[in-house]
Amino acid sequence: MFWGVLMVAYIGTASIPLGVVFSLSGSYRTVGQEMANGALLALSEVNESPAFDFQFRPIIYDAGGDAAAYRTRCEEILRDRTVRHIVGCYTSSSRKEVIPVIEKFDALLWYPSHYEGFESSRNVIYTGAAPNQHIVPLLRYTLRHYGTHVYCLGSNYIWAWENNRILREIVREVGGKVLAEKYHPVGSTDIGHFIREIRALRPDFIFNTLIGESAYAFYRAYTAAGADDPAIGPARIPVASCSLSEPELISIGPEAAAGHIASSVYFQTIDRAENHRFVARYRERFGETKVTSADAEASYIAVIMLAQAIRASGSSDIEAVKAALGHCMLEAPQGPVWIDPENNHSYLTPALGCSRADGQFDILWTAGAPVKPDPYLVWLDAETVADQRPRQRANLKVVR
Amino acid sequence: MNDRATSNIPTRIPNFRGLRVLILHPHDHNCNAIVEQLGRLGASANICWPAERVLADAADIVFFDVDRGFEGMFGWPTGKAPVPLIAILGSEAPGRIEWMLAQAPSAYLAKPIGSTGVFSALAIATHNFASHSAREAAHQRLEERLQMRGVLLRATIELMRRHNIDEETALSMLRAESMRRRATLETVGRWVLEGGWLRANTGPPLTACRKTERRAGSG
Repeated sequence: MFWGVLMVAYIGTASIPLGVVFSLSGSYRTVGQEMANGALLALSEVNESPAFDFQFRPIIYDAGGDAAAYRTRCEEILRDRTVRHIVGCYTSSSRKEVIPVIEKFDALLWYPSHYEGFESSRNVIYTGAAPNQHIVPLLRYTLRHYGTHVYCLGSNYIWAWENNRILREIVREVGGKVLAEKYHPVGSTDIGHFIREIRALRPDFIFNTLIGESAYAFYRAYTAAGADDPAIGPARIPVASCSLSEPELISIGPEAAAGHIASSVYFQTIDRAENHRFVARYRERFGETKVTSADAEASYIAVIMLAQAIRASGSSDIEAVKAALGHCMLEAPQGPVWIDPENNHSYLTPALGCSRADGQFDILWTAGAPVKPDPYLVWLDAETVADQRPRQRANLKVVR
Repeated sequence: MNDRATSNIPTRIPNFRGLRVLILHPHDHNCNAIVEQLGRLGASANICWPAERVLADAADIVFFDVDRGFEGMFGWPTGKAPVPLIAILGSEAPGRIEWMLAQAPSAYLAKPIGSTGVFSALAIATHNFASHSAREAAHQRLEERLQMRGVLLRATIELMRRHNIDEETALSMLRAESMRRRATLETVGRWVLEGGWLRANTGPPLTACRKTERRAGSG
C-alpha cells in the first residue's frame, strides 16, 4: 500500500536529484545549518507547489567544516551522472576545493554565500554578495562615521586576506591607516591578546573577518572588556563585519550581541511581505525560536532560482538552466533578485545593520535597489566617496 | 596567529578596465573563454586571425596562439614586443616551446582556457613587462656608462698631459666643466678628446671634488 502511494506520487513528475553539501557540524556549523535549512525549505516549497511539474530529490552531505571533505563529497555525488546541480559550500576554501570537481563533471554549483570576489566560474552560480555588495558599502559607512584608523582581525584564510586587501587599498586611498592586521586559525577561540592590542592601539573601528566560534569568542571577550574599560567596547570602538548574521548573534549570546555593525544583503527585520512569509515558513518548518539569515536566504534563493530555470527551460541540463536564468527574476525576501549572465553573480540589495541584544538588526542603511555584482571590483573607482568623508584628504572613488 | 607586515604588501588591486586586448588566435571555445573573462574585467577584445605582421598600435596587451604561431606573425623584431605578450599554450612540443620563448612573452596561459587564469595572466604579464622594461632601461644606462668610462679615462690622461697636472686636478677640471655646461662628465670627456680645450682649474676645492669624482666614476 505504502509503496503504491509513493509510486503514484512519482508518476508524471520527474525527480531531479540535487546535492546539498554544507557543514552541519564543525566550527562554523551555525551558518552551515542555516544554509542547509534555507535550501531544504525552498526544496519542499518546490516539491509541494503545483507550479512545478518535478520534484527535487535531495542528496544531503555534512562536510564537517573540512575543506577536503567538500571535495570528496561532491565527487561522490557527481559520479552518479544524473546529478547536475549541487547547492553548497560556505567558506571560500571549500568552494575552491569543489570547483575543479564541478568543472570536471561539467555540473553547476549553486554557491550561496557572500565571498571575497575575484572569481567567475562558468560552472558556479553565486547567489551571495560580491565585494562591491558587502565590503564597499560597509567601508563607505564606517570610514565616514567612525574614522580611518582600522584594526583588522580575521580567520587565517582567503576570505579575511582578500577582504583586508580590499580594505587596505580603500583605507590608503582615503589617507587612513591600518593599525594592525591579525590572523587567527579557523576555530581557535584564544583571542585575549587581540583585546589587549586593541586597547593599546585605540583604532576608530575594528574590521572583523573572523568566522564561526572564533568570531563569537571575540565578540564576547570584546564586549566584556568594554564593560571594564569605557575606552573600548562596541559603544566606543565598534566592530564591523561582512558576515555577522542573526543565528550567530544567538550563538554569541544576549550579553554580547548588541552594537555590532554588519553589512548584509538580508536582515530578518527587512519589512517586506515576501520576507514576512519567508520568516513565517522558516519558523514553521524549523521551530518557533529559529531566526533567518542572509546565508539561509541565499541558499533559499539558489534552489528557487534553479527550480524556476528548470521549469522555464524544461530541462535540468546546465546550459539550458543557465540560458533560462537570464530570464528569471525572483521577488526574494530581501527584494528583487536576478542573475547577471555576464558573471553568474546576483543582483542583490546591499544594506547595513546594527545588532541588538535580542539577536536582530536595526537597519542603518539600504541601497534601496538591487546592485549589479562586480566580483572583480572593476568599477570600484566609478563614484567618489570623498564628499562623504569629513576627515580625510584623498579622493577615493567607490561604486555601490 | 600570524601578523602580516602590511607595509610590504602592494595594495593596488589589479584593474584592467578599459584595457585594449588584441587576441591572435582562431575563433574557438578557448578564444571565447578569454573574451568572456576579459568582458567581466571591463577590458575590450579585438580578435585577429589569421595574423600576419601584426602591430600592437591599438593594443595594450597581446594574447597569441603558440600552437599555430609562426615566424612573421608579429610586425616587430623577434622578442622585442612593444607591449606585454601572453602566450596561449596547448601543445608542449619542444619546437613550439622554443618558438614561444623566442617571442619573450610576459605570461603564459595553458589550454583549455577555463574560468580561471586570464585575470592572473594579465596581472603577471603587466607586472613582468613593467619590471623587465625597467631592468632593460637600467641595463642600457649602465652599458652606456661603462662605454663612457674609457672616454673619461682617456680624457683625464689627455688633460694631465696637456696641462702637466695630476690626475685629481684633471678630473676636477672635467667636473667643473661638466657642471658649467650642465653636461655629463662623459660628454665633456668626449669633447676634450675631440680637441676641445677647458679653462684652467676653476672648480671647487680638490677635497670636495674627490668625493664627487668617485661618485661620478662609480656610477
